[in-house]
Formats: sequence, C-alpha cells, structure tokens
Amino acid sequence: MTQQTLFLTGNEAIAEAWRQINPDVVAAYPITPSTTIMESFTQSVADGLVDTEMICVESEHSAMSACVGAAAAGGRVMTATSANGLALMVEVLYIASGMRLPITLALATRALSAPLNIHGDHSDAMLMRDAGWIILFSEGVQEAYDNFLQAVRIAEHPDVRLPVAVTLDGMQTTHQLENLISEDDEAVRDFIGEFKPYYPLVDVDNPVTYGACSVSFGEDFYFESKRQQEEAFKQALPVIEAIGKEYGNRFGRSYELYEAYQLQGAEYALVMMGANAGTAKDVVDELRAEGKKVGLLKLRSFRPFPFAAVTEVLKGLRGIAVCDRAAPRGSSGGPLFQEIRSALYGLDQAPTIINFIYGLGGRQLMPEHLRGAIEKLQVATMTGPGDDLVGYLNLRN
Amino acid sequence: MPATIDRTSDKKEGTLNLRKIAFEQDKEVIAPGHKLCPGCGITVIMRQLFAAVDYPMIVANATGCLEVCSGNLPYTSWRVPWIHNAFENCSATASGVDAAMKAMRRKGKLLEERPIKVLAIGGDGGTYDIGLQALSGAMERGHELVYLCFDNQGYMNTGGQRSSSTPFGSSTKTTPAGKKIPGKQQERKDLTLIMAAHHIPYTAQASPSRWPDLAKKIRKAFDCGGPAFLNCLSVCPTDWKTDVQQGLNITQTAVDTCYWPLYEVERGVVRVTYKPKLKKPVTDWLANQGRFKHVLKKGNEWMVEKIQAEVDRRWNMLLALEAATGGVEEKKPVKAEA
Amino acid sequence: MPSWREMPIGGLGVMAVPLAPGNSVEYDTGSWSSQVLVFHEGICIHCMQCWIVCPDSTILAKDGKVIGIDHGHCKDCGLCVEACPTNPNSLEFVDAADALVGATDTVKNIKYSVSAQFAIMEKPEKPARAPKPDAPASA
Repeated sequence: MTQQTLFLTGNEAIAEAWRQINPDVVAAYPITPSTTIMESFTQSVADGLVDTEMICVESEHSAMSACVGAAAAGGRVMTATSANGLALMVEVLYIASGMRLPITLALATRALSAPLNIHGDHSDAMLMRDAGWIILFSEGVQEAYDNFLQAVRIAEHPDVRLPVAVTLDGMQTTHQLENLISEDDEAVRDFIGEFKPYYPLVDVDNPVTYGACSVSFGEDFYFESKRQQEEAFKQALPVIEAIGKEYGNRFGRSYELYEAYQLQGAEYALVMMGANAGTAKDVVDELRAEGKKVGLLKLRSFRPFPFAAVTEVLKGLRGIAVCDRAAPRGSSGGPLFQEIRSALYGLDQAPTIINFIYGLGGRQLMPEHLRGAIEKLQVATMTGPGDDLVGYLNLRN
Repeated sequence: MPATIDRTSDKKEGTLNLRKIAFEQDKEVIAPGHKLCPGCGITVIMRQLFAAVDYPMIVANATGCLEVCSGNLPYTSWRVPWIHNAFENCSATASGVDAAMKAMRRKGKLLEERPIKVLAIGGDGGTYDIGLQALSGAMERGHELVYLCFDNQGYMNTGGQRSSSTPFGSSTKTTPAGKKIPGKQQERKDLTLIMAAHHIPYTAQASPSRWPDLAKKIRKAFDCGGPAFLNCLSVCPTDWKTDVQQGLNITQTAVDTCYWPLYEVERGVVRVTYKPKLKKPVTDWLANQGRFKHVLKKGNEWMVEKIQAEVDRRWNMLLALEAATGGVEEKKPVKAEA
Repeated sequence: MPSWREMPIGGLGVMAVPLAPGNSVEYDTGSWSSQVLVFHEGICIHCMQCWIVCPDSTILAKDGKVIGIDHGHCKDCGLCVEACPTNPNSLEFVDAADALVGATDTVKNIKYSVSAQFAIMEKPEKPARAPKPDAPASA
C-alpha cells in the first residue's frame, strides 16, 4: 500500500506498523489497554497480510519467554503489554537484555495494581527502567507509529543490540482516534531492512550456548556482561539521534532524544514525557502569548537518559517543574525528577527544580493544573522551594 | 540384561542395535566434564535420548541440575544449539523457537533441509510446579516440540526441597521427617496423566533402566508430528540418599513395584509397555533409600500401607484405562534385542 | 580470562575460544573419586550396556567395541559395573593408590589430568565372582 492518511487509535497504529514490518514472530497476551494492538494485528494474520507466526500465549511471562526463544532462534520478534502484564514478565525482560536480543515491545502504559486501575500512567514503564531496555516515550498516535519503526532499527543496530520499548499512554494515545500518516509499505520495508541475527540457534552447524550460568568464582562473566550493556547504552544515544534524522530525511518527520518546545529564551520550563505533553504545549503557547517566558522539554528517550543533552538545554533556566506520571513511592520525588536533578547537579547556578505528580490511574491533567504548576514554580524560584519539593496535580487533597 | 547377544540381528530394521549405535566420545551431544553428581540419572536419560535419535536439534533447558551443571561458564557441555532462559519457561522458549523456525521457513530464510527438532528439558521442579503453566500452554497450542521431564522427585539443584512430584512420606529439606510430621504428607501429582489429558499426539512415561523401551518412546515422541511429553524417573543419589552404584537397580525397582509404571498414550490409546511378571511389594522400593528410612520404622506401618494402597489404586486405574482405550494387544513373541 | 571488550556479547558460548561448545572436556572431573575403574578387555563382550548407562560418556566406544575408559572424566559412580552382564565382571574398581603403585606390570597409562585419556588395564588374576542375585528381567 502506498502512503495514506488513516484515522486510527494508537493501538491500531502500532498494529499497522507491525503489518508493514512483517515480523517473524509475535507472542502476546491480552491486557487492557494494550489488547487491541494484538487484536488488530491478528486480523492481519488471519487475512494473510503478513507471514508472521502468531503465538497466543497463556501469560505475559510466556509472551516474553517465547519472544526470547524466537529471537535467539534468529527471528525478528515483537510484542505488546501493559502494567501487571509487564510486571509478570519482568524477569524475562532482564534476560532478553542480558542476552542482547533485539526484541521490540509496545508498552501501553497503565497504572500498576493495587488498587486495580486500567487507565494510563507511567508506573509500569518505570518498573522496567533498570531492566536494560531502551525506552522511548511517545506523545500521540503518529509518534507511536514513527517511534516503533525506528525502534526496530535502533534495537538491531550493531552498536546497540538491546531490546527497545515504545510507550503509548494507556487509554489516551492507545484509544484516541487521530490522523496517522502511514507511510508506503515498500518504503517502510526498505527503512527497516533485513534482520541479521547474531548467533541464531537455527544455525545447527555452529551451535551456540545461550544463558549459561556464570557462577564460578574467579571465572565468572557476569560483571563484564553488565559492563558491555552499559557500553551499548552509551552507544545508543548517537544511534537514536542518527536514526531519528534518517527517518526525517525519508519521511519528513525527524526525531531527537527530546523535543525542545519554546525553550529559546525561556526562564521557566516544564519537563514531561508522553501524551500529556500535548496539553503542556497548549499551556506554554498561552503563557507565551501572555508574555511569560515559559517552555517545555518533552523527553523522548528515557533510557538511555541523555544527561549531557538535557544539561545543555536546561542549564540556563531559572526554574524547572518536572512533571512525573509515576509516584515517588518513598523517594525524594518521581523518577523523571530524580534524573533531571541528577543531570543538573554540580552547576554553578543550578535552576530551582520542583516536582509535580500527575495523572496517576488515568487522573485527568487539564491546562489549569499546569498553569497552577507554573505559578508554584515561579514562587518557588523566588522564595526557595521549601522542604517539600513534591506537589500533586488534580489530587483530591 | 541378557547374558548372550545375538550378533546376527544387527541389520534388522526397527531394532536398536547398541553396538551399531555406540558412537565415539567426540560425537556426544553432551560432552563430559559436566558437574552433575556421580551416578546422577539425568545424563543417563539424556545420553539415551541422543543415542535413540539423530536429528539436528535445538534444546531449551529449564533452570535446574542439568542446566547449571552443563552450562556453567566458562564451560559448556552442549554441542547443539542450547538456550537457558529461566526456571519456569523452557516450554514457552521452545514455543518461540518452533514459531521462529516456521516463520523463517515460510519466508525462505531458513534453508536447512533436515528437520530441526525442538527439545525442551526440565526437572520435576521446572515441570510439575513452576513450569506447569508454560508447559500446558505449549502443549495446547500444538507446537512441534518434545518436552522431556527428568523426574528426580524434588528440587534437587537447590539442595533437595519438596516438589509436587515428591512421594508421600519422603523426607526432604522442606518436609523433614520430624517428631510430629513424618515427611511429606501429600501424595504426588501424576503429571503424565495430566499431559495425556491435553490430548496431544504422544505422552509417555519411561525409565533409563529400560533403554530399549525408552528409546522407542523417544523416537515416537520426535516423530509424532506435534507436541509430545516424556516423563523419566531420574535417580538422585545425593538427595534420595541411595548407593550411587545401585542407581539404575533402584530405578528399576520403582518400575517393578509399579510405583513408576512404564506406559504410553498414543493418540488416545493407553498402552502399558512393561508389566512386571512379579509385582514387587512397595517396601522393595522404599528400602535402601535414606529419604524413606523413617517410613520403614516401627510405628509407621500405616505409611507403608497407605503407599501400597495408592500404588495399587493407580496401577489398576492405568490397566483399566488401557483396556478402555483399546490398548491391550495380543501377546507377541519376545524378541532378543541388543 | 577475557576482558569485557574481548568476550562475545551476551555471555554466549559460541564457536570461539574460550566459550566453545563442548569445551567442558577441558574440565577435570576424573579426580573427583579416589577409586579407578578398571576395564578387562579380555572378558568384555562389547554388549555396550555400560556405554548406554554411563552418565559421563566415559566408556569409550569405537566401531562396535569398547576400547577403554576416559579417566579424566570418570567419576567412578559404578553404574557401568552394575550394568555389565559378564561373569566375572569386565569392569571393576580398584583404589587409585594401588593402581598408581603398579599393582600389575601390565598397567599401560593412567593420567588424572584433562586431555584425552584411556587406559586399558589387565590385572593378572581375574577374581572369581559370585553369581549375581536377581538380575532384572530383560525388556
């Protein structure tokens, strides 16, 4: 099919990307709000539009396990899940990364139980932040589609060889209908390229041992293996940028490690990830029209965290309000807040940085909440942030 | 074992002539130098499997004794492609391998002409308990894979804790024979029948103390064209507290007491492949095993009775299943086999 | 031991030293026991019952014959001794100390280090053995 504009939900957009990629194996288990990714794709399978072997596994743990087996065998594989499903497969996420298998995952972010809540927040993405996966956050349907196509290239890049997760905010990006420019099938296939497996199991004449244990004292490889993964993350930063640029050259929409929105000459900034950055952009536009020097840093690559780039773009600001869609859970602030603070540590004149938690369990974020956040930030910048750096937006206090 | 060998039966098709099969050490699929205990039943079973079939194979191994002792960096004993993922998911991993091969062949990316077989291996720990879900899922989905369970009746790799395959009365590290509670108080699960109830093309129970029977079952499993499950009793001298040298004799006693019946379920037909001429009392099986020492003590006769009653009940049920599914055949003359 | 830059990624065992498939042959498990397995070539009927029950692949076979024992890996478990049908037995244990001291003058070669070894030893007197009790019935 040639390039076309479709009116799709984020989940359908991911399934459309999968159709074009034509992976070897998809092993998935349904969980709200990611289910319709699987359902849309299985329709393509049933209609013979892809050569994919679809495995409807019996749990998310088996979904990622089957992906590991299929990727190690030599196939290009992908899957989708959310929240507790991701939590169930966490053990295998670490294994997939440790084995350096270029698996891709569409994560429809959702609140983790308890209480049970099927709406969006980023707590599940934060659950996997140490699993050794590259994590790219998407703002809307088009970005989710674009990110996923790039994710396959990033994961399979010889300098990287790490699995990649692309997030969509649950119930927002996943279920909202938006216009999607779906690129020409041939052009996408050309961009994605042929998959070149390293050490495939199917090469029976050159047998390989995957996942042997490494426990012998004085003769173990564990630490070295982890150091290799860190090197891959370092190398991933320029690779993400290069592929984002190439994507722009081919398809007209380029991507970087973050998007700087109206940060030129800004004094105050919001830092956010995911769907609600759209609301933030509207608020920034309004405040700018009122003469306030406010901007937004929308982070795309959460892992690897682009410390140098973030420091560079935020260091001149007076105040930063980092908006986290995941709770501190006993820490000094939300996960993004901690990363930003860490990036700006040691500067002669560091900006005032405060944290706002928003949107947990699908709680709506309205423009007035962000306006309020900016006002609090301005006060904090002038009078000092006080003891409690963490505020909550739209919480019934 | 026969005392004389008929050397003229070499050429007969379908028989398994060990003298012809026995290959040189550098052709072993599992190279020596692995760290399994002396006399461990696991590699006896594995070597018997690889002597019975000669397909190119990909192995997915669950965490456990075999995995840890054979894939222990910087050494690996495996001379075939091998993947260890985690404890409970070798069936799911094998499913992924099977699916990838199907897709790659469909796309013309896998050109190897010989069929590459997929073998998933786990101990009773990774099969009966934590791995049951993934195993059940894989079997139900109809992947072309063989699952081999080496059942040593406990979580032996971590020191001998109880599993759902541990026999009633057995003393283990988590069900020690104490003053109040004399060992494990639950009967063991019958996983082979559970797998047969998945109605897969082939399910069987075998023992390394009977190689020709095991070999036939291995071949049927790999040739059945769908999912197959094999359960093999695997002696663990370390945690059963048995004489190392007597390992296979003890295993055979399990068979002769009908504690571990040898049978197969082939497309719904149950066939008991070994019926002992003289069914031994279960005390023969309990004797000479340190884990059952307390069971044979005075005052615990009720335990022996309970064990015998359960063995008899399950054996009779199996014979009834055989009769009901048309598995009873006319007696054929016994052939001398190598 | 290779540095993190030199090893294959993912800690894999691939067709390249030092993580080559089957390289466990370099690991000595033969010294685990203080006994040595003796193989009497003259009595052996090459039925291969020992070969099919050995957990460590240390009964060495070639062209339908047992040709010796790999003492670099044999853990002296004795499953082969039990499986052997000949009377007297073609396989028996001796204490390692006796074997080394040269209890017999036809000892050819015993090594406990790793690379391929097999030794065929004949003791001058073949001991008479009592009949085996209750041999298991054949399949």
